[in-house]
Amino acid sequence: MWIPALAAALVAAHHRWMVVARGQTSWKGGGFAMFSDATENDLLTSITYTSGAGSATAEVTGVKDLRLVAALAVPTEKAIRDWARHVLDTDWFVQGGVAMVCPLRFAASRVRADRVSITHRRVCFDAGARGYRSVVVREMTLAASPSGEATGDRLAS
Amino acid sequence: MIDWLRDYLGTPPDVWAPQLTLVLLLFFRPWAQHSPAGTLSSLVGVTYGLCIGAGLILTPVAHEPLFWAVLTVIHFAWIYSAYHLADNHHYLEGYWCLSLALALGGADAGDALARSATLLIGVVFLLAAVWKLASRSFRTGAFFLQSMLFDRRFLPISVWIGGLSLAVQDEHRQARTRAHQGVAFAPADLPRRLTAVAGVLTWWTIAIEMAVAIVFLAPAAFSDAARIAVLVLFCITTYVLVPVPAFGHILVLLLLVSVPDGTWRMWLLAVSCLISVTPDMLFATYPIAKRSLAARPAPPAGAAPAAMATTPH
Repeated sequence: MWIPALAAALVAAHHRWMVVARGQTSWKGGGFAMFSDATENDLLTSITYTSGAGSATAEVTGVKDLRLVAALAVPTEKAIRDWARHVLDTDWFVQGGVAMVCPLRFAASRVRADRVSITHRRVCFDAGARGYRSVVVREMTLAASPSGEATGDRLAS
Repeated sequence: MIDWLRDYLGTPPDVWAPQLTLVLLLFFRPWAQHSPAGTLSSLVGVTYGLCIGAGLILTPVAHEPLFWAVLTVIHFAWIYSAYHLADNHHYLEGYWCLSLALALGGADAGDALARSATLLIGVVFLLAAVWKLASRSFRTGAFFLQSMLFDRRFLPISVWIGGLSLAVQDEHRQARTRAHQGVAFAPADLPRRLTAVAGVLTWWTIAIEMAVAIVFLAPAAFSDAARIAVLVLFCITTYVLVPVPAFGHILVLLLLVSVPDGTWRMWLLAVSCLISVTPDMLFATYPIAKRSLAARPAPPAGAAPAAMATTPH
């Protein structure tokens, strides 16, 4: 009778630890903390690529990849790095400074990123101060080198 | 038909709860949320579907504890494979499958199921209320303010009760965008009425969730009628605002199991049906609320302070 309830309490304790220690969103993870927090994780992702006109930068948008979903839900260094690697392995179609996953019909215009920069930011509405607060949690840059080593990974204080 | 249903639901929960649970799982198919081809989730999803089919066709199988033990493992395997996507009601469904596995193998399965369902509801609501109390952004009303400004599901209450205008919504949208683009603090003012409604929603939610937790965690101190009244009040005041039918149905199923009377269970089944149709009724109000929002005149430039709360800095 009490085993399922105890399991629920243990999973909720793990969820709490994930929220506090790993920055996990409170909506996921079985803690029943849905509808309790207005904080949003944001991963601003931009790529630097080489085109006929030289080096250019574009902001990645409109991606529904599971690695991005995972990194937004639990934004650990590993999850963000996995997402960054995926960005480096993806063909992009760039228009007006915005990079989208390249559709087949634009295959001839596809570009690959030389470098990807990701800024993990938390945005929250502050009811007391009446405005939106934005805090940078981590900044990561990954180059498309054979080793895929990070050229910069800064955890903001 | 109604007499048959009343008699059926008047039997101990171990007679009908397994079938009803399978129908619920088949209806909402938790694995459908994430099961891309060729992944563990996909394999789990196929196995899950086959198990549910077998349990529905072969009634005796659905009363075997081993069947529910297997289903519990499959259910949590899916949650593990879709950790970033699985919602909280998926966990509750898993705990309920575990309850069935443990209770059906025991001596008084009906009673064990009823006590397990009561305890699960109590624990879930206690957790929900505690997290909300612990969250600063919830206590200050920020969560509901943000939801009323941007969540489509809150649009009817934002517009018709909170008095939200397009100008205020645009101001907040721009401020939020600036914050996402890197501005450390982007101010945006709020109408008093919207703030007041958010405050009421905030404290009502904490009060009703705490009340549900108390009446279900101390079942001896409260009557069946009290437990039904509090949980149904929660369902009405929550799901009329935000349709989350999957969560509503598993809660009503647990409540069905926890009350001993067939007539009460009939009424609760009606509540369950109401939860099924609520989303459609609510979705119909969204375009009307959107039109009301668009038609609402913007406050004249520079004349906002009379209707706005003051900014403290």
